[in-house]
Amino acid sequence: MKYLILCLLSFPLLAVAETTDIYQPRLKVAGLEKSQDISRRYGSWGIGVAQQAQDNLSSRTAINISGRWFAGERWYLLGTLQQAPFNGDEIRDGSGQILFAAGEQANVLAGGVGYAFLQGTASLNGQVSYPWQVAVEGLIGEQYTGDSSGRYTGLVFSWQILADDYWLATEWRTYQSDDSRLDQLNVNKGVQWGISFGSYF
Amino acid sequence: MLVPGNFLHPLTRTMGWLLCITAFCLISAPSWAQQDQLYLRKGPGHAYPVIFEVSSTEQLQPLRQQGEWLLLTNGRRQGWLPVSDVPESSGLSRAQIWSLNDALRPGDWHLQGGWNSETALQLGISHPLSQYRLAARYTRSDAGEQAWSSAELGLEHLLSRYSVWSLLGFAGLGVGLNEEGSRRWDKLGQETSTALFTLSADVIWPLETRLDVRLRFQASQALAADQSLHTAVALIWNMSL
Repeated sequence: MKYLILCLLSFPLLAVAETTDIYQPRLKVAGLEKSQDISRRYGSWGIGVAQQAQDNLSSRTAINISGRWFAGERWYLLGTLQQAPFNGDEIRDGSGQILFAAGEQANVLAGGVGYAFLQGTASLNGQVSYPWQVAVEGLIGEQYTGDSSGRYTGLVFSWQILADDYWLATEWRTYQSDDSRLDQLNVNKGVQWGISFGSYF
Repeated sequence: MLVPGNFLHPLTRTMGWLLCITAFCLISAPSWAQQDQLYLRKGPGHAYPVIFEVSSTEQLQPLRQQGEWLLLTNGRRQGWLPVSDVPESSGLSRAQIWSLNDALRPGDWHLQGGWNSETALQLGISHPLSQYRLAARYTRSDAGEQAWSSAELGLEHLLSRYSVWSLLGFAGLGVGLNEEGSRRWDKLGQETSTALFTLSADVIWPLETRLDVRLRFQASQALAADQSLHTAVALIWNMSL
């Protein structure tokens, strides 16, 4: 009798345990959680300085920021924002009319495409090597100079050293703006060279 | 009775088989060896040099994906391999490989930018709509006296495909704004606006999985103002997000 009572008392516990076993779901793991550890690289960003030179104006230093979106192995889209002083002193025409106020700035907002036509590796000591590429880039955008603006076009050759987490580049660019105010004094085109440094996103 | 010919005949036949098997192994061994090796490169591109090779059964750990390339390590060295070349025996699960390939598929949204023969900038965006694509386009010219802009909404449809080239048609309605001084839609150069009907055909050349370049032939008919017809050729860069 004593055992019977014990059995009756323990039955609900056994039943609950059995019910828990039945309804406890088993999770199936597809293995996709590992792929979340793989970081994806979509493009790069960078900052740089450049030296501009053009006829009829003294050379000047520009600063720029740039972003590149990798469209594939060799092609990428890019955007750049550049700021540079345009002229130092006031410029007047023969009648004394002010053509350029003192200290005007030239700001460029441009976008375009780039194509890496040479790729390889480079090493200084033979122990560590870095991939590099030479790219040609076409830019189109707007140059805002003082109160006027004009269509900006540029052709860039860029040599980029691509480390794991950062990149370093040197570039040479020829550019022009169709701003009629600049065109009148033949100061609407020039060349620049510079270096840039950046990382990836 | 022992006859030399009877003794040598089975031996010759065996030797023949051995020679055949040896020759087969020698011919096919290099191809087997190539299939068993993975060539990892210094950078994410076929132009970068191969820096080391591993067996396709070696356990590799993925570190980073850039476009169609995957940076892998075996614990000692690391190199880039096309995602399409990653074998299932390399330590990545089938689900992981599927996920990596799925990430390469071009997205539904397309963004466009370009320049046309009227020195105007063209921007556009499109998204699939049934068997068509719903496309919105914006064109802006501010070259001297030709300051005008237009915005159009229409449908794109793939007309034909030849090899890697394809032909895309567009028909849309929109509105054009003629700014003061421009004679595009007003001979007197007054500020005006007009409805537009536009047809265009794009010859598409794919550059990468997510990027193509298009040569666009476009005709735009003003339905009001001076009812002029303008044609242009544009170079358009199209990327899928």
